[in-house]
Amino acid sequence: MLAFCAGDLSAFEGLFQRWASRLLRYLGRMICDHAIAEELVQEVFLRVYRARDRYKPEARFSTWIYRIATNLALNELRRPHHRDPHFSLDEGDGFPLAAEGSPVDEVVHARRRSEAAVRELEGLPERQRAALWLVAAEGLAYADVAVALDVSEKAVKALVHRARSTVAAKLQEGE
Amino acid sequence: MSESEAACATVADDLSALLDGELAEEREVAVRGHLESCRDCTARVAALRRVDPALAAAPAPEVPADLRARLDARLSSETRPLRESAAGRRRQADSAAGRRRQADSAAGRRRRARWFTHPAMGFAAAAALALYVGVRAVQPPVGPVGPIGVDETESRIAGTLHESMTPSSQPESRALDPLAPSPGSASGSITGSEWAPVAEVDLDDVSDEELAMALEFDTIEDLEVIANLDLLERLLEIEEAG
Repeated sequence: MLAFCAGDLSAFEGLFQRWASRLLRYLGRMICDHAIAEELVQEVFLRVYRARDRYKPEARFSTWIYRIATNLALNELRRPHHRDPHFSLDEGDGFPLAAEGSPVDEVVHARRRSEAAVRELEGLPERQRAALWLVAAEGLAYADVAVALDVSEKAVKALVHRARSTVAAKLQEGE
Repeated sequence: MSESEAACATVADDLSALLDGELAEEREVAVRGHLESCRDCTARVAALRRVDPALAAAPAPEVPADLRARLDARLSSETRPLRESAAGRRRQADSAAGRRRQADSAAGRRRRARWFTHPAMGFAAAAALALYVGVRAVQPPVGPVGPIGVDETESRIAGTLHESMTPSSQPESRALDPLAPSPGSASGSITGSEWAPVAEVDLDDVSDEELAMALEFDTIEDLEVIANLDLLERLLEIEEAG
């Protein structure tokens, strides 16, 4: 990002390559509509491009970009036309929960657990959804999530715990 | 509530933070101490621990092959100015000069002052100034995201205008002639259709007289809109010359 701010435009390509997939995954979970998620990913990068003069290196880039993405997601979710969240697991290869060579039923079970977790996540209130995803899937610290969501760390702790407890209860029902 | 239930209640809200490594050291020690003697809370932690891998295992969507191209197209449309023909610019400039000569009366000056000093006009005036004088693209398109070579100030002005432009009722041509009084708007309000985007105007085509007239925009509140340093220097020179 610093190279891009200094005028190295090829660095923008690097930012895109590194962040497009993660943002698409995050925004897909938040919006539950991949077409809109793709539009929002573009919007994130547009804002990154426009704001390059204002980026301060004291702020971690991941925190900054997730803040932009979260704001866009929350704004989108507030639009009247937004549909209710629905299950929208992508088609994909691989079932990383099961080791290679595991019995087929374990692989199937792992996939079902993942699907159930995502389904439950997408039914959570938006801030719980964002907080849990950013911690669980993106590995952000509570302090960074607080910045991304514009809430206190104490609030993040509560959001994460409530969200995780809800998803955990659902997974236990299915066991 | 029994003593053990009360103990469980005191750690319940900390279980997720324990998994995330977000507890202060002293608190972590206390929670772990409770877990050593409480099977229920240990089971709760085990259940919580299954969530993150399940979520992280969800397949990541593929980035569509054309997403970058779509982004580039949007970046291009943001930074590219709409260019006028040279003949069109001259017509606008001549028309504006003629109107200013006719309006060069005390009444005309008062009307302009009212228009420019109306509170609603401060930013619109600054924006109109940016529209009127514009900036010139100085580099050919380069780079993976379209006309990156466009003067950065142009994109900043376009961005500023895009984000905060006040809608205008004036015809598109008026966008290049902000000094003409607005008919039927003695109060100075501007409403209605959109301003024309930044036009490409060579600074050499803008006379000192026109820049001096621009200085009547005494309600410019944000000189950052005049992002072109060359223009700013010229304006300051004219002002100092009195």
